[in-house]
Amino acid sequence: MFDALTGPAFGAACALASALSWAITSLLVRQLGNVCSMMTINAVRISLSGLVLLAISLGGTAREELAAMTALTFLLVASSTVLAAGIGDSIFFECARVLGLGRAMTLAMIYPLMAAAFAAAFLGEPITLRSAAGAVTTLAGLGLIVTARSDAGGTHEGQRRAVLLSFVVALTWAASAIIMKPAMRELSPLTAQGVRLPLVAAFLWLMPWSRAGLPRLLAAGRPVVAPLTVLTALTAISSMTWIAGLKYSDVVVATVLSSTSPMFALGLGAMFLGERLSPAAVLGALLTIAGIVVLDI
Amino acid sequence: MENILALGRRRRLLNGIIMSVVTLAVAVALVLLSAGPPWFALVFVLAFLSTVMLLQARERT
Repeated sequence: MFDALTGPAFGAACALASALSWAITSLLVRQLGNVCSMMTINAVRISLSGLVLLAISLGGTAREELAAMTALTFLLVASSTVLAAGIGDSIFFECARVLGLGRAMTLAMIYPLMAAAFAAAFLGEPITLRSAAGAVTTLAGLGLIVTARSDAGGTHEGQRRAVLLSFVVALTWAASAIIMKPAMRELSPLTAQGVRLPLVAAFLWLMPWSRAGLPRLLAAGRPVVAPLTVLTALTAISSMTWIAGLKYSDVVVATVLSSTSPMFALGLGAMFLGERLSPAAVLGALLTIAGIVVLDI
Repeated sequence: MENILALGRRRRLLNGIIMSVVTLAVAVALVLLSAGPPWFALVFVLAFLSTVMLLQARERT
């Protein structure tokens, strides 16, 4: 029975679980966006899940892991966190504002390809024909899904800058994944995220726009307790499974599969919100699934 | 950093599998019963616990 845990499919399953939980998180964050700003909800969900993971990990092996952690590993974890959550995510939100979420997501979707190139250059992970075919097929499918659902956002002003910045976003996310991979040799997923999420939370609370929405969220009272509980659990699941995917499988498999949240969002929207599926979106979903099969088998 | 023996690992794996099945069963039951949205918080808390157990079994922690 343990073979299933130690095989590469476990890492792929973790990456897919991360994408699924991220898809549900995005839906909920958008719903709660009526109550207060998304930046505040983002900061709250990351803070709460970070505290939960830190508490659980300290009850386990975190103290020993942290005591044994080298300065280099801490530097890798901290710089990966600042790159992805501090710089990458902040620029991404700005790109999404200018270009619209769909277009910004499509452009940032090249991040797994960048990560694969970095992994080949710096970690010696080979790019096989199968992994390249699987990655390109999956990302082409996701591109179709996202453009089919694309919202017509953005004005001409600053669009070129936002397109260029989207590549910077992809670069920071790819670099963050590559930097975390060697650090994960010393840390368990639980401890790694127990350290990372509180750092991200501290960074987010430094931003005035994160703090600005807090009074409205507190004033909302009991109705937001259940959604915030769900968001906390989902964020913890998503972050742990993302890092587990990265640890237990190749960078290309982990980054591509954890980017498949638009496919899950498509299915969830059709099942629970009665959204109609366009032919392009269905084709995109089929291509994505085909790419996952090629990557995973 | 391993801190459990084979028995502890087996226990975590078994608990993780049971918790995953319970999570699915609760989710299906809530959908069939058309339960209100707050009830679904339970599903995600259970899913979180099963994730922690399975990862602990994988890491032997």
